[in-house]
Amino acid sequence: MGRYILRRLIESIPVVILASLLVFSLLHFIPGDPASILAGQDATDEEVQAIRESLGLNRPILTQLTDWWLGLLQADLGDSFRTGRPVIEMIRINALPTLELAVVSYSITLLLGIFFGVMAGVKVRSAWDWFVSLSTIFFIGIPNFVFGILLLWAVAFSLGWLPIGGRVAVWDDPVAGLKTLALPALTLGTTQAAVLARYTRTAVSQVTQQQYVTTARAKGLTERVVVMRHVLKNSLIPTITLSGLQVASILTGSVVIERVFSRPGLGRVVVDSVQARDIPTIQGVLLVLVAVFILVNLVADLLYGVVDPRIRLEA
Amino acid sequence: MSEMAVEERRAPAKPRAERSLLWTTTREIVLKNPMGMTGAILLTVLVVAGLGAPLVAPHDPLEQFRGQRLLGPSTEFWLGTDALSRDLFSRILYGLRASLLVSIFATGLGVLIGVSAGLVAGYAGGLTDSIIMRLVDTMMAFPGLILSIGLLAVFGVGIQSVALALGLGAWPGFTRLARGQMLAERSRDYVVAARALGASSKRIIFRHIAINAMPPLIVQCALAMATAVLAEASLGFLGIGTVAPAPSLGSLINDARARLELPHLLIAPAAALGLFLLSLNLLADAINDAMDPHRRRR
Repeated sequence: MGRYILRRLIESIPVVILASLLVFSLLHFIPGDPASILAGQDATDEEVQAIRESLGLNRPILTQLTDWWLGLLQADLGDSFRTGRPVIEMIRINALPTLELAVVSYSITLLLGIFFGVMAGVKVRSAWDWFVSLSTIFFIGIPNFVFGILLLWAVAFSLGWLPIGGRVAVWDDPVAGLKTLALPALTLGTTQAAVLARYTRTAVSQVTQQQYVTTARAKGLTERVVVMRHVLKNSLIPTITLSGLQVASILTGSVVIERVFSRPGLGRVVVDSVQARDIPTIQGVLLVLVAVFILVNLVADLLYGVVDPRIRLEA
Repeated sequence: MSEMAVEERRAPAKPRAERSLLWTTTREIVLKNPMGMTGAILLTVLVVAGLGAPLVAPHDPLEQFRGQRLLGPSTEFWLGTDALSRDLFSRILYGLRASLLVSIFATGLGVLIGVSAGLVAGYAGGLTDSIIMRLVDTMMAFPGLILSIGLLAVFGVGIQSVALALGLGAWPGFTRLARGQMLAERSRDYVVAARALGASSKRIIFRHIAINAMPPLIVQCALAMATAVLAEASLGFLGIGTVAPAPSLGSLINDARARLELPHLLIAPAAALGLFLLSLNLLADAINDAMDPHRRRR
């Protein structure tokens, strides 16, 4: 197992380096002279020059790159154009509400997705199966932000059961906090749960048809033991793969869902930064999200090894 | 169905090989599969309505009718008017048009870059393959929409930037698929035969293998288009898609969010978007079924 982890860690290094290189080069993808475009049309020569210097664009590109990497090692992502504050500080402040939303949504996804997927997969063409198929079709046609507004309209606006939007930190006031978190987390969680349930259903129904499952049943094991001990473990690989990828969907989803429910968070930072073409902030947020995503995929790969001994022995 | 069979039998006997592959496949996708038929009809209606928006729309999407703010549906304004007294139906048609143009361009760009890179990587192997695939891995390490948002910041907000940003985000998926197809095809006998006949690599890749690697790529195209439609709507919803006052389905939905007391403002653009996404997915499924010999119903 140790060798397997080590190998996976080493394999992810080039991707981390290339990803940071890609993020670095974003600034240089700007057509024409980045400094004068970022300064805007009415900027004076001095202003353009100031921007050029603050971004270090007047130095050789290799120096810029090494400085950028050295900065990263010290958790320095540069300063925001828009607010003038260090990007890392803006991320630290705004990451918390997003993280809170993402963690709760993801828990909902895993719980509902795996539960419904297994129920539907064990008994194909049952009511469970129908429910999973129908909700998949429902969520193909109804994007998460539309579903969010529908929930907002039904539960918060018409029934008045929950607040329309905003955020209260859960640790300041748990009840009010959960109330503001409920709808956004449910929106994001259920849309992803439908996808996960569909995948889990397919995997489980395929495993259920295998002969060793028939054997287990023939031995007289209860259905519960057959499913929990024999079916589930072998059908988990595709589920783990997808749930790893779903972290990305949850992260991007929260950017959009935060707007539906007027929640503060990285979503608002991203949108404001795009409008202001605040490249350093965008670069910072991108880097953080990529790092999280690479880490999650690494964890998913390690989980394969835990679930399936064949995978860790190959290493 | 039986009528058609009779028709076919009466038609002058055509050698089987001459019957075009395109026609038989289309028949399999659209006529024999109710889901495929639904998808195809829906998509045709939406494409005609969207691309034909300048002809179909009853009003200019930007024209403001003084004193006619937030009206309900009527004969003059089919879906009513928005907060700035503009005709909602016309705005939806133009939004659909923007969505179509963006998704077609983005998918086209994705296919162009992605498939060429994938075919080259799979055929060349070695260092070329490694370089291209590491780049693909890196691109795929970015959560989809986020990368496009980053590119949008670089290009500046606007419909052209959205199309470009989504296209640049779409290619790695096509590269993976095309490379896989290439690896599966390149040691086949017909490729060896073509090489033995002295065909150039370029000819073998683009004239022989590309054609055979097509089916999964077509499915991927339909799915990539659905992804682009969804991404364009999300960006529009975030307010970083089209530049106001130009409509997009996403921005119309965002407008509706501020007026929950008038649910039709939400339902109309959401339905257009939903049907668009659904039709693309249905069609992708039908194509997949038709191409997959195991699932084909004879």
